[in-house]
Amino acid sequence: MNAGVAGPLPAPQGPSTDVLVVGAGPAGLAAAVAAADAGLRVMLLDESPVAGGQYLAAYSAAAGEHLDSSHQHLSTSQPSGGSGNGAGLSPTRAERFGHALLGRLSAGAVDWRPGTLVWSLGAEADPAPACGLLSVAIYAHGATEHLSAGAVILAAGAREGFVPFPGWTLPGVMSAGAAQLLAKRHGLKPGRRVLIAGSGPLLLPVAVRLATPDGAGAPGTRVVGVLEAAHLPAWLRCGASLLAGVAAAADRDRLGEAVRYLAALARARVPYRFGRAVTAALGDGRLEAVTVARTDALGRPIPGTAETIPADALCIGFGLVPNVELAQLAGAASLFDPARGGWVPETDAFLETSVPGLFVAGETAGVAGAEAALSQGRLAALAAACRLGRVSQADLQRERDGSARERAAALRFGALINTLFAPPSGCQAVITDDTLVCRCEEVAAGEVRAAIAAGAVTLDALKTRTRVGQGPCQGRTCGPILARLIAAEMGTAPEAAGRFGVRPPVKPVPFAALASTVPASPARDLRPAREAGR
Amino acid sequence: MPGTPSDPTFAIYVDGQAIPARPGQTLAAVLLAAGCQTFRYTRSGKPRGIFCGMGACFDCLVTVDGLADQRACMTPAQPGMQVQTGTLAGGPPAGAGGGA
Repeated sequence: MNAGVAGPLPAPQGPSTDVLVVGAGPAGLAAAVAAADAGLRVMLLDESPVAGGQYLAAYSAAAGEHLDSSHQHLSTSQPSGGSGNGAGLSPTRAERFGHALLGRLSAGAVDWRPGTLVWSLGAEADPAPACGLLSVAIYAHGATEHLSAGAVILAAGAREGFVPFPGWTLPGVMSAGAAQLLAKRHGLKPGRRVLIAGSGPLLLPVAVRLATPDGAGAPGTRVVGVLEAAHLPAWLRCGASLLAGVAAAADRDRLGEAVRYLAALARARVPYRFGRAVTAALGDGRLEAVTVARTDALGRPIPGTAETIPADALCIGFGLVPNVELAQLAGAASLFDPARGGWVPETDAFLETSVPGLFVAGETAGVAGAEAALSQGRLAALAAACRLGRVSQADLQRERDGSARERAAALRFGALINTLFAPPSGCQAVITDDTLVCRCEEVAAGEVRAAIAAGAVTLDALKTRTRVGQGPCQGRTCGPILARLIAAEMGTAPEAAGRFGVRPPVKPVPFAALASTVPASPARDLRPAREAGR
Repeated sequence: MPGTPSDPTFAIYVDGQAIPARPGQTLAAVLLAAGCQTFRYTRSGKPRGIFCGMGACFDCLVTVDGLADQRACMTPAQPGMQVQTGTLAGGPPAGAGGGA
């Protein structure tokens, strides 16, 4: 799937667009709109058929939305029930701001291309000295296309992290984010008796949304419990930090949000338990029950505390992992920072990576939430505009300084969450030797542990030895799991395991489409005539 | 009447069976709403359904209009779409277990 495919071809002439933004979640939307407002031609691409990412999914879901073909403008509608977070809770500041950005998109501010996968990214092979274009290869509607841009802003978001356990591949076991998205965008609940397990505050809105009865009188869904791996002190430290920052609007907003979620859970009588781990998912062909246990301070199941809970849906999540594959492919220098969710690109103060013209924003720059993403998206866009001569250094500096305090608060809170709710060191204990760690290639932990013992102590070495990471997800799911497994077996830090190498296409593209490339189409110029003529 | 402004629902065909879909639904949403949790079987015969729901894990692969390995969670349902899961019609491959 990965074999021997060349990187993007240089575009035949001139850049396809000034700024190309990858990902239409909060960061990408903010970046695209700010770049357009600075007078630049902007292309906004997302694999998803709709804009908004995970965070704004309820706002972009709508009957009136056309999903059919290429190059359309989005039509958004007010979220049903007037709230994007479910349970009739009032929208957060970030949701209100994001909703306004979606409105700008539907008003045609940028060249918006849904259903578009970016599968390669790099500096032009032979750039004209002055322009330094970036090449981007995309796949959409059955064909690949090669584009070029003066600047690229990666706002590809994050994916969920997991701690595997026996049976976690059974239908009925899904990520908390999947359940959230199905509920937000499609009004679907994952089952009748739902258990939610993992770690961190992201489980709260999922639990609240799933526990809230449907207006349509659909068959009832009961959330039978939320099982938090962390122990109570983690939450208390989190609350204390929010209280300490309560003078800041963003912290006040977050604290209020948490309180509203906890109150909603209490009203729905959903039990919330600390220090619990799922030890197995059971069922014949689909989930029927879940065994759970109390955990010790290190997160290891305590013998004799196991209980079996009947459930037809189990929603799991252990925080978020930044989607950085395109930055890695482009050769951007990166570092491992657990407080930001793992491997992240190194950037300057304006979010430019070590690859000139390549910027990152939002969770791709480090997991820190929607407030940080919105602020970073705008900053990266203005920095790109400065690089392209549309914004002065002084104006860029002013933008950075003006939003610095709020951004720093969001990043600090993100770091606290990522640290307090990271998978505990003892969680390896639930990964029995017959637990699959690589879902794609069906490789069990026992085989991986044997390979580690035989000297395969990096992800790429394990990949060669055991096939982990060779399937269609290309190691996105198993990479962080395997890095922790190596760290646990070797007594080293997870970054010592390195990460999987990436090659184009960074996600599978049909071979026939790679072979038949259509010529690059320039971005539609959507700027007002006076801008376009400049 | 399906396909009209008053009733925008349309049919897609999953392993030959007509299943109702609405504009804006992904194939994953259509399948789950129809009660189909298993979208495919792995080489070893194990059932898989939706997992990450956001295009990262490639567990929810189905065949769409003859094109193999399409992510149900990222593919919008279109009127008349032919989807093969191999699960509604046939169940797991011969000799394969259905458990985890």
